[in-house]
Amino acid sequence: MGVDRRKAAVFGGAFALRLLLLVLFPSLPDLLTGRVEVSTPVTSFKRLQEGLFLYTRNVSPYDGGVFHQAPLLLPIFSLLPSSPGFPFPTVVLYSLIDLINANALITIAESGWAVSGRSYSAIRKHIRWDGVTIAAWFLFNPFTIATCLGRSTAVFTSIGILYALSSAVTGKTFNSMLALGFASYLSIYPALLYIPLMLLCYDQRAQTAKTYPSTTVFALQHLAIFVLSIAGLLGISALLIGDFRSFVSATYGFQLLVPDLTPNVGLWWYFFIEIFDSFREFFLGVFWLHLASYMGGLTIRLRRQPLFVLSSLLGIFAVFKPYPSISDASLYFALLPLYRHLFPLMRYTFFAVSALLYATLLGPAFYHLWIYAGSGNANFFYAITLVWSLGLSILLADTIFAALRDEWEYDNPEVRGKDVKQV
Amino acid sequence: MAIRDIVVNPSLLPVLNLSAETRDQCMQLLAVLDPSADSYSDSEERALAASKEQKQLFALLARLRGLNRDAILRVRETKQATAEARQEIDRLHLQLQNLYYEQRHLTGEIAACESYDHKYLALPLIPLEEFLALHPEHRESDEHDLMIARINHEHAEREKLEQARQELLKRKQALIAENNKRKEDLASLDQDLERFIDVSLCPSEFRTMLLTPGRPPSPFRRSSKRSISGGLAINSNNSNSPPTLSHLVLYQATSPSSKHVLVMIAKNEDLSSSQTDPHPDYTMTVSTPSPRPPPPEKPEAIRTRFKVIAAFWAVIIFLGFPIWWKTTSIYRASLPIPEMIDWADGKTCRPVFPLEIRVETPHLPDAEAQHLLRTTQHTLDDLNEFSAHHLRLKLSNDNVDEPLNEPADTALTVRLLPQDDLINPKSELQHDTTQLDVFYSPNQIPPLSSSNPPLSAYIAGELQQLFTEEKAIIAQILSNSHASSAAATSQPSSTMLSSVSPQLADSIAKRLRRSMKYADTYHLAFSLFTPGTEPSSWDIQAAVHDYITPLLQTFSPISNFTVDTQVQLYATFAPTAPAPEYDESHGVWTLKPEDLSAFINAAEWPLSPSIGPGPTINFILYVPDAAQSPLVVKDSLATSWVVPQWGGVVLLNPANGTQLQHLSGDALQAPFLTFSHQLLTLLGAPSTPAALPFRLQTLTRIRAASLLLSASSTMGSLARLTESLPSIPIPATVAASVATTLSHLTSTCEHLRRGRFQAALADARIAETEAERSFFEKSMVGQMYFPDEHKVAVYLPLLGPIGVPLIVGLLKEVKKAIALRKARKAT
Repeated sequence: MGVDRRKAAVFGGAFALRLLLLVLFPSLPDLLTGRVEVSTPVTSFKRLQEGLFLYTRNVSPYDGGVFHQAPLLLPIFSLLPSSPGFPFPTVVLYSLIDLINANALITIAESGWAVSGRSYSAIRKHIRWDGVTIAAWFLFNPFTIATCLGRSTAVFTSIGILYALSSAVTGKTFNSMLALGFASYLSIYPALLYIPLMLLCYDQRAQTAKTYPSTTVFALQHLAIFVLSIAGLLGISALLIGDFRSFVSATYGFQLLVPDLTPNVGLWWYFFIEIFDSFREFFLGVFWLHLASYMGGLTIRLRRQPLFVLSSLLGIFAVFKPYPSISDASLYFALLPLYRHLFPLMRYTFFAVSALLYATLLGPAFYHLWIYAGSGNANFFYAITLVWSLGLSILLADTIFAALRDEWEYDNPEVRGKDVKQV
Repeated sequence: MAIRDIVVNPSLLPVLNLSAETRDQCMQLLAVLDPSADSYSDSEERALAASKEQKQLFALLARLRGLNRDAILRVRETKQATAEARQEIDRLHLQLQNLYYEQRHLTGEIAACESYDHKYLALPLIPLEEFLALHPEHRESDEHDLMIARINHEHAEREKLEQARQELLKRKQALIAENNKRKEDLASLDQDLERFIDVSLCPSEFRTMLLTPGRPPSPFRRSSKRSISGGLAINSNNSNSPPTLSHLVLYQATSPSSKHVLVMIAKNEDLSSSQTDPHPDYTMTVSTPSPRPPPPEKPEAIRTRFKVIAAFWAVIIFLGFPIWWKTTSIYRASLPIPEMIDWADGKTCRPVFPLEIRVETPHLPDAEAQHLLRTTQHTLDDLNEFSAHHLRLKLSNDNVDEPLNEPADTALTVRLLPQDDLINPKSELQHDTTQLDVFYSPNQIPPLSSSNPPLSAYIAGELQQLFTEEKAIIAQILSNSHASSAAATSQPSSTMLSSVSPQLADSIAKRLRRSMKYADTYHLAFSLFTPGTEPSSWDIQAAVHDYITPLLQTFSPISNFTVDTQVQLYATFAPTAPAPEYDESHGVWTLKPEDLSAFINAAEWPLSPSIGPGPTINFILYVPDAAQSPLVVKDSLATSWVVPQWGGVVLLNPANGTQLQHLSGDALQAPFLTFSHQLLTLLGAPSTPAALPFRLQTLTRIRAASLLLSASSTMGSLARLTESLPSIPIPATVAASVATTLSHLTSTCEHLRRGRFQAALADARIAETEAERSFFEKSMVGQMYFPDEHKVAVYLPLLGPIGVPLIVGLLKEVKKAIALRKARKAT
């Protein structure tokens, strides 16, 4: 019961903190909603409200060219009282989503899949945190809180992904695929997680049932579930919106072709402002392929740790996807404490954390200098986003290195504790 | 005598002789001159003898000098010969010295060679007898061969031994590694064991557990191969195969009750499976651990790496390259370049304007009418000098000879009406139709015999005059265009225009400059400007409907029009514009003609230059302030003027200085008639003749011609552009537009030739629109100034960092694969 009390305390504390922030600083949500670090064109709550306004007046929400999010969010939010007048229900909803996410994290942590898999078990698996600690890391992460108060709709993607992971590690493969379908429906990139997630489901099935289902059949089955769930959601959306073509081009076309170059913490906007128009399509392809190409390599290399592949891919998405925000980083940071056993093997933790802190503190300052004060230019902010991406990349590379090191020591017990050199 | 002994050289003997002779001669001279020997009688005789002797002496001296010179030369020659001979001797001597040196060196070398101490002499070879015993076939060979054979034998023996040594070394390494691994395992086992003891077991249990071999406790997950025995367990050789390696490791385990238990773990393992040596009697002792190389990569690790690299490359090859190909290839639709150039050069079509004129002769018999027609036509042909533009007369009732389904447009109808009491024929152009009435007295009907009747000449002259201006304009257009200058080189423009007076040519050129460039759509903007508050309204709708709309309807085949109107109060002059001056003599305010261009306050008056696609024609009705009224242009006292290619201005001076609140239709009549006139001018209609339909037709022909030429030259420009810039894309829409343009140009030309000018204009308009659209296609200009070198700068910064590791990885894999194949082939 002690654990449960701790969990209740953490959850209650997190919930109370969010409400307290809202009460103490009533303008904080609107401020955060306007920040480019929190809100991107595809997750902005303001744009959602615009779409909602049009939707409740029976106008196609995509008519204004402002709203680019999935249409299923509209009926959900139209049930809530209007946010400007009554901010509480919205914040309560977002806080609850955070709590659900934290709960999913606890499930993932307690399954132990982060430290041992079907054909692999980490050497330092006794160095780990329990689920409540990990949930606390997530719930009290400033990035998570900012995302929650900024009411970015990226949290719905996060909930899909985390629920997919937690279902996968507990053997509910069907639910897992449905959840991933939901996440992919909201924002395309989670579809890239399908293969490692399917492998995770397969490993889980093989470990618990001790039977080895045919890989091909298993993959096809789950692909079918995945595709059907997306198709179902798209079908419902088409019923809601009516004009299927316009809705697809306004949401997925927008995410794929990146026409809105509003600054964000990612690397795309500056590049596509500067690139010659005739090369724009080519480099769109290059950037997307770059994002997608990590999936195959990581999955093959870390076949024995599918959950780690999923976490690392989420980190890569947070750096390289077209409209990243700190909510993507917070999702990656939520999964990172699961790998507490890798921390002793990491080498550049200090550097990565400093770079991230540096970017977090200077980013808003430089943005202010550029946009409001006018004493800086776009390069100021872009340099900071580069530092941010660099910090995340170092963290990513370091964790992957640590995981590989761990695996190597598992394979070669005689080198345990020896110095290695990366070549 | 002594000298004769010394000098023996025969060449010197004559010198000696001659010198002796000379001396004798000197003696003789002395004797002659000796005063004591008085052999001569007188001094004169003596002087004579002396001079005789002296002469002989001089001759002898001269000879002696010659001989002396010879002697000296000979001495020189001799000296030279001697020097040469000595040089030769020196050279030979040096050669000899060299040879001596060489000889000594060679002798030394030979000695060194003879005394060289070779290694084989010191080789510890097996004794000769043993060797011969081993290889009896060498018994007969000589010493040299024998030695070679012995050395070879030794070499082979040593290599064999070295190989054996290497193998042994390898085995030693493997065993050391194996030993260390086992040691590590044991160390970890030790830790596990300690914890295990610490946590859960009491000493007694521990002992029993330890004493129960074959049932490994749960923490030892990987101990299935090990047997653990308590106490002092000695390696007892009781496993199935003989133990090859045994470790005795002493552990000290601490129990929670701080009881010291001495555990000796013996590890018996069958190593035969892991050993490469088939002979089990190989033993070695564990030496001190040295720094080890990292363990070799496992084959599955290598396979995984290969798969990872392949995964990245699969993405690049199957997705990256198609995307690259698709997005960066330049689409160039094929254009009919030669055809386009031909159009631009005027080779395809030479515009001609056969105008058909119908002659109605209701009161003449057929034969006479025919005759009149023929003679008039003849006269016309004589008068015409511009072959592209010619008039064809036709009787109105002979339609039957028109086999074409589409008859040509009738440019003019000439009606011959008899009228009595006329001395000369007289003509009258109808104002609302294209009809020319010619009145004649019946007696002027030419007899069939007359070849050049005055009536024909009169009609021809009238017609010619009617079309003079049109002809001049068309000639001007054709000569202005680049195309016609190429096409009409046979007839220079001066001869074309010879019938045109210079004034007319001038005014035509001026009007062409003044008129708007042709557009498909014109926007007419009527604006009422006033510096004060009044008038604030006008009956513009009625005025436009009454005066402008009919005009626009007649122009509708040529262009489309839209009409906008506005009223602007408080419209002041620009501060820089000169204010009107009061002219006392006429009692009016005047504007200087040269200041008219500054009249329009372009900065403040809201006169939009672009209401939509197509140019805007502005018509400004300016009502001056009562204090400045009436306002006129200086000198001419005009109240309206045309701003070239922009619009027209009319000053409306209220009568009697009163200010109007509202401009009624009546007040607007005069200004709008002016506007309609200005509109005609701005649209490029000819000023003569007065009949509007006639001018409209003329305008149709002019526009058709100019559009034809402009579209053709656009085609030429496009063709040259696409040829000179091979890197610009040509979208399919451009190709379609070009095809449409060319087909419509062809039909325009055809219509022109058949005299169907309305149809020609319709086609020419389409051709012009399409030509402009193809030439100004937006997607074509994007890459116009993008040289290939810039592509490197575009691709490298991003793709370089991504590409280098991928390419290096691929190269490594390929190298490895090649090495593997070679190794496989070698074995």
